[in-house]
Amino acid sequence: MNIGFNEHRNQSENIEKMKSEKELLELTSNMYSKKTDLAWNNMLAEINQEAEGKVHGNFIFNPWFLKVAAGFLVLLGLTWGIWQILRPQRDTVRTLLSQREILLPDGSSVYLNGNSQISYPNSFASDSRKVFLRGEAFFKVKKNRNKAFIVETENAQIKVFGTSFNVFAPKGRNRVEVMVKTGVVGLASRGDLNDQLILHEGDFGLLDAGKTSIKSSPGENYLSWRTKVFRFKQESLQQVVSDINRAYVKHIELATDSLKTLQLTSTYYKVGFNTILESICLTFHLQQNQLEGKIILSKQK
Amino acid sequence: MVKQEEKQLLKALKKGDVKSFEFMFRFYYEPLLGYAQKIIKVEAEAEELTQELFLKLWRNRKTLSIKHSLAAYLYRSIYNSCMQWLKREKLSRQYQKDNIKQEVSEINPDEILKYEELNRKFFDLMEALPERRRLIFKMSRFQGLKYKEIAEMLSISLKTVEANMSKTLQYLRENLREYRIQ
Repeated sequence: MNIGFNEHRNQSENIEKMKSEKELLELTSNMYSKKTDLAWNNMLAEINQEAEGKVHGNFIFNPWFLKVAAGFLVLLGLTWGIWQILRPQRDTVRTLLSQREILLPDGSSVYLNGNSQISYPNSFASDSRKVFLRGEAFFKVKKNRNKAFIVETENAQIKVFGTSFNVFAPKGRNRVEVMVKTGVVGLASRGDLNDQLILHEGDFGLLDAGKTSIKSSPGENYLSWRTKVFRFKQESLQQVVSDINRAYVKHIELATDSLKTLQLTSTYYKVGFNTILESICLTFHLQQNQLEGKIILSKQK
Repeated sequence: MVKQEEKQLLKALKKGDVKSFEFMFRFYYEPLLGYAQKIIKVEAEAEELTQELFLKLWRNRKTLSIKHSLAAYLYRSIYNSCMQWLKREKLSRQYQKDNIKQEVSEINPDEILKYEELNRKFFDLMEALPERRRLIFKMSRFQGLKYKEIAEMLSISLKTVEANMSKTLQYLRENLREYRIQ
């Protein structure tokens, strides 16, 4: 009798343990279940719809209204169809001497440097978001785990699901640089898409003549072309000029080789091009000469 | 969840932060749905009522004022809408009085409190975890990342992620063992 009683008590204790364990595991394990995912997608769609000002009401179920609405919709459909065929399906934005921020159809943003070009469809395909880049741009991609965001350049394919990163793919050169600010980025040569290099936050990836590799960080001013924050620490004037040119889409040249090795230690926090130029000239006693769109710096006489 | 976290979430929600709303939704959706289903026994309707509850929460986010706990608020709200629905059903078609009485007695307001307590204990235990383990656990359960993705993002091996998770789950299980939900 005693044995039976203990057994019974252990059993009900075990059942209690299982119940609370089950409860515990359930606390978080259903946050990403299919059911919750579906429900959340619905919820998100509802929220967005409301944000766009669509209103549901009983009026729309009136039969008279429905007949008129149906006819109207057919007309609308035809017009839309014709319009879709006639209008261009893709947009291409080109920059020359200025930088530009572009909003893509999925909410992602692209900050385009000068002398660059980006091409993208009016609305992304159902399975992926593809854009074509020539030059340099900083991408902030909206997270979508079901739709890869693909940047194609002349030689590379860069794939992400929701991150921010910099791509430098100058025209005519078989070289692509990718700097990852946040998230995870895949870099591959277009000639060998399966050999994908995975880059993490802070990584600097290179595609050179078809081969991918991770290089050491290229210096803290690599993203300054966008941020306009420069920290030069005993930096060669040659590098300084190169960084400034890239950030302001200008063409400064140093007249003599001896100037290239001069060292500059200075911080520029979001100031204008002219301010920096004057600061440099003052520091090294240089003078400016404009020639065919270039700014030539030489020693003052 | 821990009072602090909850306050921050509600603050963010007030400002219209969708991410915070998503976290709330994902955390409470299935538990509330299960609860509603126990009351009204019609799955499709329970889903709709639960969704409506969250929609209302979103719509009224700016003027919302939750005094005690988010869980208590949500459970009470869903309980009320279920009761309203049952009343309507009773009017529109035959519904036995006995049935309603039975279900009302099944719903124990203590159930809400117990869930809330388990909730709070769970979050307290989580905060006591070493930073790395807590991070991995959060990435898996709160961000829905797969173990492989976590391994990639943190530059560690898959085995390490698995080992961490199993240790964490074991630790949580052991510490909540005395906790009984009737």
